Amino acid sequence: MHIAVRNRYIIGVFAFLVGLFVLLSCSKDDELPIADEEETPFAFRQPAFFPQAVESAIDPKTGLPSNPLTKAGVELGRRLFYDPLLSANKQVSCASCHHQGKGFSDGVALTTAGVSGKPLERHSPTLINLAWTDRGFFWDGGSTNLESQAFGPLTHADEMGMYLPVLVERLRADATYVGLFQKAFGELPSEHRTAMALSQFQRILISADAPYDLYRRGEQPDALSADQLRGLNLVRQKCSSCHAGELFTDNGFHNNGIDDDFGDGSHEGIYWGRYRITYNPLDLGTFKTPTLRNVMVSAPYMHDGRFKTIDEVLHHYRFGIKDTPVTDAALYQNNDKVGIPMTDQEVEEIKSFLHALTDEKFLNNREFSNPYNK
Amino acid sequence: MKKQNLFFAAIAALVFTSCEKTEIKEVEKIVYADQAGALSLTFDARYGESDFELNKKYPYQLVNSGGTYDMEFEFSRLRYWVSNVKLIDNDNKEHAIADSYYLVEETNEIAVQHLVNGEKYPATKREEVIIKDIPSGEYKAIKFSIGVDQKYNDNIALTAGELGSLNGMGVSDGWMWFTSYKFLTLAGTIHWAEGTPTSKALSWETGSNELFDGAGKTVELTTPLKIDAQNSGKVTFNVDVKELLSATDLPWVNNSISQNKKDLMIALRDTFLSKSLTFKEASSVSVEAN
Repeated sequence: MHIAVRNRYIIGVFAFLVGLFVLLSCSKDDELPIADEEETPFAFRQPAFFPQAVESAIDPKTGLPSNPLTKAGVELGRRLFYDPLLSANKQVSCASCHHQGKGFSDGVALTTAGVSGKPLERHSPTLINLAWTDRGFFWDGGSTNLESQAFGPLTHADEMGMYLPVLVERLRADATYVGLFQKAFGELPSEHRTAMALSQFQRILISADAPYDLYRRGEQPDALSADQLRGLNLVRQKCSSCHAGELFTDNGFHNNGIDDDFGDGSHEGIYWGRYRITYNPLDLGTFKTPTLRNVMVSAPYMHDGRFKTIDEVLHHYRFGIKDTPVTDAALYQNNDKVGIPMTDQEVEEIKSFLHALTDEKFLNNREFSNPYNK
Repeated sequence: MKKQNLFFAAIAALVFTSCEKTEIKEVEKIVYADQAGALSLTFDARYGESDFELNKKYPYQLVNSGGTYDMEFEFSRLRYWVSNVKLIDNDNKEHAIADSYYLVEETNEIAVQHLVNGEKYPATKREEVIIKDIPSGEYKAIKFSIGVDQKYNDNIALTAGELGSLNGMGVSDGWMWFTSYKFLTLAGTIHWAEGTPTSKALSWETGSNELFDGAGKTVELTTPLKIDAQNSGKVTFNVDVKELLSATDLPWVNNSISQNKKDLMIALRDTFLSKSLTFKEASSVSVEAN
């Protein structure tokens, strides 16, 4: 009897809670029931020694991250990333300029792989450890978050050239996508959910299994050669004010002395760098620090791909830095004169270490590769 | 075990009910469902004494320190975001309208920048915003902002009201190039017979988080607006584009105003709020009469 009363009490409380949930449900409209998969979080990997990953922006309506990773969201994002349906002429996907084997860069200075065939104004950046990028996307940081960033290449005339209403039309006409968006978001396909799914996929592109990492985590203490160890020390000593920490980037913006004339605002302000966004004169010619992870497979280098090889890059830092009022102070390592002193041998040791940042597991991870190539 | 289940159910209920803003509105809806009325806001674009029309040359006499100049302005676009609408009742209590983001515009057909398939944003005229489910009450003032606040301005993938929809957003014109919203745009052509050349493109824009501070306007209504089950409210504002032209003494020189000219953006914003956008009339309308 006592137990029966308790059970009734419990059922009563439960019914009240269910009622409360129904009454206060976030969902305004009569939406289709949300599939279970939406609730299945993606098991995000937080590698040892990495800083805490950045959550998606807080949704003002819920006070919670607006785009939490789910299995269904990541899988949808992966399909969208590799699908040329997202471009005006149905021939260009995100992967046209972001090749996994090259750290998701493309091996050319300024690609012509977009819908117009015209060379772009910027070099395709790598997509590595973006879940830790906390100071803006694009070479000039013009987009504050990954989700907003997606609309840049999607709509740019020379990239995917997509008119968003047409994108939505196409995705809604595709039964597979309708199902996948329902699974991931409980909604019909839309342009903003497309951006969210793409971001979810990009956040899982984590590179943390290079020989350096195996050494760092003590999993393989002899993963680095003596040369590479010396190279690691040199990189920490000479390069880490920008290529900092475990990410090998500070995600910041620096003028690294490759130009000395910033008067020309043409080509979408390419000579201006982040000044184009902030209009702060100190940002003239500053660009985002790229990670050194997988650097040996992601040539050419710089925001315009002007340096074809790592030798050219290191030569620039030894002998080529231009002394301007906006050149980063960290580059004055030569008795307060511009330049980073390195001997020939040190250059070789640095290069040797940079090879130890090549993460074959990342470059070949099937979970990151084209799902249409089974 | 059962206790645990109950505990988890309670936690789940707490989690699911934590989306405060929306829920509060839902609760209000239930409470006021049989009493709530609607509020209509009309932004009537004018050019001085005339109605505002696109593709029509309006005379404009510019007087500045250099002299007097006879110019003509022809417009192709007037577009701005009205946001964060709040009604103030007779007790000075503010009632915020949830998700109040509205795109007001008068635009020619816009050829999409890339033209790959010749897509065009259709010519659009939208001056009236209708807000439903206003809690019953008497309101003596209305507040709103021109633009989009940072929490949404920083992330165009988030949705609220008309933000993030394809309304005016399917073309790149709806954004600043750094993927946030343009708050106000006025575009067209300036004609000046003595100029070289004799016409110039006009492109004035405001935007950026910094400019949102100070983008608010409070309008006192001459008589309180009664909104309930029997009455809807209607407020009309004049938006005088001719007044907006006074944002600069040198429109021929400053024919382009954007991110790189912050002072002029501020002048444009302030001129719009203080001189261009003015209260015209407000009234309560009996629902039965409609």
